[in-house]
Amino acid sequence: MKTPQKLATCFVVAIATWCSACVGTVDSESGGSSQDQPNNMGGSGGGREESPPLAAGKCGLLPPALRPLTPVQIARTLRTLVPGAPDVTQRLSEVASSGAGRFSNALARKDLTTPFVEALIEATQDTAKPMSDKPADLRSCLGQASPSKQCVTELLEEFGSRVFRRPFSEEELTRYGAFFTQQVADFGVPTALRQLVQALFMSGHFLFRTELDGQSVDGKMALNPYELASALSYLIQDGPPDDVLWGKAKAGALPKDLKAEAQRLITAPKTAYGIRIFLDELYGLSLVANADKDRAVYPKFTDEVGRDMAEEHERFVEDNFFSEASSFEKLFSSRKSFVTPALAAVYGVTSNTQGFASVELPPERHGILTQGAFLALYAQRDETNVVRRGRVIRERLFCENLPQPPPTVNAVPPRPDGQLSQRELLERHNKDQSCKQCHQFMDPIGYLFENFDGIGQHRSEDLGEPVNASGEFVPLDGGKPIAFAGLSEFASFVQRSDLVSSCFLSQAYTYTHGRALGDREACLSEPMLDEFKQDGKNMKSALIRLATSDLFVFRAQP
Amino acid sequence: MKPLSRRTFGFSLGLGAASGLLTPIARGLIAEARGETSTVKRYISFCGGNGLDIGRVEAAVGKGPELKPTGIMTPLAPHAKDLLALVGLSGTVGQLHGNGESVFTLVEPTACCKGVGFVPGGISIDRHIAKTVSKGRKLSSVNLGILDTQSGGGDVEPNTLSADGPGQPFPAIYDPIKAFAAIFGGAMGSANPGTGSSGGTPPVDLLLKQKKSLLDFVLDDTQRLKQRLAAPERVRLDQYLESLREIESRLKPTVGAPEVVDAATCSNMKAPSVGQGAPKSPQYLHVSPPVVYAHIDIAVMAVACGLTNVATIFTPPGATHMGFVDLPGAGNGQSHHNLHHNAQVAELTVIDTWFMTAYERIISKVKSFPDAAGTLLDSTLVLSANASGGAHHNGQKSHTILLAGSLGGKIRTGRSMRFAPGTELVGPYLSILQAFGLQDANKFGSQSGTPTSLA
Repeated sequence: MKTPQKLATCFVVAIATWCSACVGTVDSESGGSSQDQPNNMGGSGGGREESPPLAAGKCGLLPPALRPLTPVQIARTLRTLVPGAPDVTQRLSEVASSGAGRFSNALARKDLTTPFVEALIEATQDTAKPMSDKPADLRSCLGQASPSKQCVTELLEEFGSRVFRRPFSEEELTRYGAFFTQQVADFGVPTALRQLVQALFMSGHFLFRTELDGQSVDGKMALNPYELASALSYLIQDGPPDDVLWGKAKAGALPKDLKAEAQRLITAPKTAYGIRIFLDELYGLSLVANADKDRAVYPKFTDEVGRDMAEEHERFVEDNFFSEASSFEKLFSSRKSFVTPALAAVYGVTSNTQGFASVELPPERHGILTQGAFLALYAQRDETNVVRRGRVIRERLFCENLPQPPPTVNAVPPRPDGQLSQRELLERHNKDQSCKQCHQFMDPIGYLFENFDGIGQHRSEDLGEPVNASGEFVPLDGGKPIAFAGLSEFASFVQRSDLVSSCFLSQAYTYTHGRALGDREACLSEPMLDEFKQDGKNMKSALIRLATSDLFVFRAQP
Repeated sequence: MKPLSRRTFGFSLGLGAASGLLTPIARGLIAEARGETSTVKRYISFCGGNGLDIGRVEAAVGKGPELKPTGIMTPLAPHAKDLLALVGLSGTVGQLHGNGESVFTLVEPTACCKGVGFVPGGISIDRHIAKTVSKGRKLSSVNLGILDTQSGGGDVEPNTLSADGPGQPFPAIYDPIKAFAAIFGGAMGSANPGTGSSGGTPPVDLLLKQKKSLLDFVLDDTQRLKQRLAAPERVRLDQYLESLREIESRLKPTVGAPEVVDAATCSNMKAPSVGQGAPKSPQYLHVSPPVVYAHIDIAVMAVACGLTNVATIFTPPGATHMGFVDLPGAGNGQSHHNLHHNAQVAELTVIDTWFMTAYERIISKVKSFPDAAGTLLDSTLVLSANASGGAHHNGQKSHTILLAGSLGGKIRTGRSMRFAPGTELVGPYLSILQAFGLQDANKFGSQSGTPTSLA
């Protein structure tokens, strides 16, 4: 076994200047390079550089964009518009791009590779089958050998417009109608109908949300009611506009009724899939379902408990979000949670209810910070992981950018040696100044979680000694460190922190627009934070403000 | 029934003047069968992670220029005359810890390891080659690998070494069973008799005609949309247009044969019996040689059957924490990453030797296909590399690249080449690109240089 001294040689060939690069900025994780990538996509990102110059002190509008549907959105829309169609989510997701940022709805997605398009052809073919099998069930006129022009026009005006999420133009009615007529002549009505449905679902007008037909208003371009309805429904419901929202768009009641519609949709948790995806991807903790633990060390951690932890986190976040107060602070303070009997045992409480039950957790618990989803995911198989927990807190909660370890250091967490605690091992390691340069930002945060083992069980002792779970937050800007006696104090700090609130808002912005808050919109940060605080940090209200803001409704004039 | 060779299959069609009706793939194969194979080239790459210990490599290569594989390279001994070992190359990109995925791009990733996975900084060499040499094939390249389910202590991020450009990772398939279905089935499978999903068995040509008319319409529709967009947004549709055209180009009338060219060996393939494994199974959480072998077999068959001319197979790149199972002596699932830190030489030697065994499997499989006067290896370059070079700490500057196949004399095999410290990967890469007819002059990725003569 390695000796502590050997480990504490810090695994380093020091690069003295390395950590001068440590200082990152708020929102850097999902910043331009990863989420938007205007400079890395051959000009295909958000097109931010294409926007006109700004007058000093003014925020810029985003340029019109072609917004790709995610594979999940494509699949959800197919099933919504064609009842009885198979679920093709997995088929498309398997061949989709590995992602372009934290959130799956990034504007920079580039899924349409050959394998994906092949899968799309199959998926749309299978989706069209219920319609093409019984054309007359769709419209009686389609039961004829040669349906009239009027028949196909009505089909396009009703079904086709829902696929494109806007009315068909005269030119499109003519062109798609001619395609259908030719297909009927060549292959008969059932095949022609299948071909037409596939053509609609493979059109760029379906695969992307377009922003092409806005109206010029005071030098800016207002999205038309249909574009606005789609933007709202894909944001909140991750799918196409429902009948009510569609009706509002048809009646020209948007953006007048935009806020009311946003409120209606966001208060329907069962169909607010888009919000649920945002909440899931925000902290990414559902990955705990795949966590692998050493059963000899953690006998309570079964596959089932891993899945329970993921679902507990999901239920907890959604319960908070969709409540009246929708309190952001409660995410880091609430002791209310949802556990199964097996998960209750991890938390030291009891639940006799089969399945999930709402419980009050012990006082040492503070919302997400002490959930198994966080504590077990960011731990080793058989031990805690101080560095990683500290790093994740700074990156995910504070949106701070910490660099990767340099190539010449050993980034493996200290292995338990049965003599020294993780804290003691790391404190030795950090006596080397070149290590401390960066670890000062992570380890003292990670120490705060040392009262929780590698699966989130509370512990007051480690290796027979009382756990020292004090820590500190060392600001990246060189400011004075803030000391905490334990996690409880830190949780309060997180709840109050403007950095944490700003981080949440920037992530909400990123999800809303499919791109990170860029330089042109940076002037929004302060007002967004002010409104958020004035509103009691109500998450729902923040999302509604984003979805009804000028930035959502208007685009820069092309 | 004895499987038909590629050459036998071509002639078995009995086509002379009628060959104009064949698919491009079939025409290519018949030309190859008649010995007109000089223009067809193929590329297969195999990449490991966590480093291939330079000391063990140097000991195994031997001191002389003549290659006499020993030690961890013993599995390659039967192919010594077909191999060129490039030892001591340097990688000055991708050195960030756990960030070796740039070994095929030679560009620093634009982001890594922050919850977004690997975001490539440029096109990878396999995809660069694919865009030229796979024209007319069903797939421009296939990309199969092991999903890194353990690195970083919890994050599960898709990984791939292949990329079409900055921020454009080329998706990999991680499950051999899904890979088999995607490569040998796919959308075009429904164009074959008896596999249509709407009942009945319409003639193949009728189904192809239907698909072509659909794709023609969608292509036209997409072009119309593109014309309405501002310049920055038009680029977003290019990928879609390219994919549609690639699929559409394959929809040619045939003389009754399926679109996938089909020697007996190719037509009688069975789906692999091993898959990625259920989540949390040992095979899912670790590298399992049978899974890698399944990927290798699928990739080589895809090339041999004319579905593509480029394939990449990889085990988790970077400083993976995934250990090995189903490989006696390799630590029984112990983190590969930690094996390095703990200097567990015995286990690492088993893993490095296994890597050579897997590489040998590719070479043997490629050689098993008769082609023109020799084997498929005559027109195929099989490259092996390790994403982390010599080791994932302190070793990223020591890359060993192994090449199998001479590409018609463009690469002189049966020997090793040792490079002076600091010699970048770009030189050999430029020579490889030239061997494939890609005159990239003096630059690949972020690196400039002059082609290193490999002849």
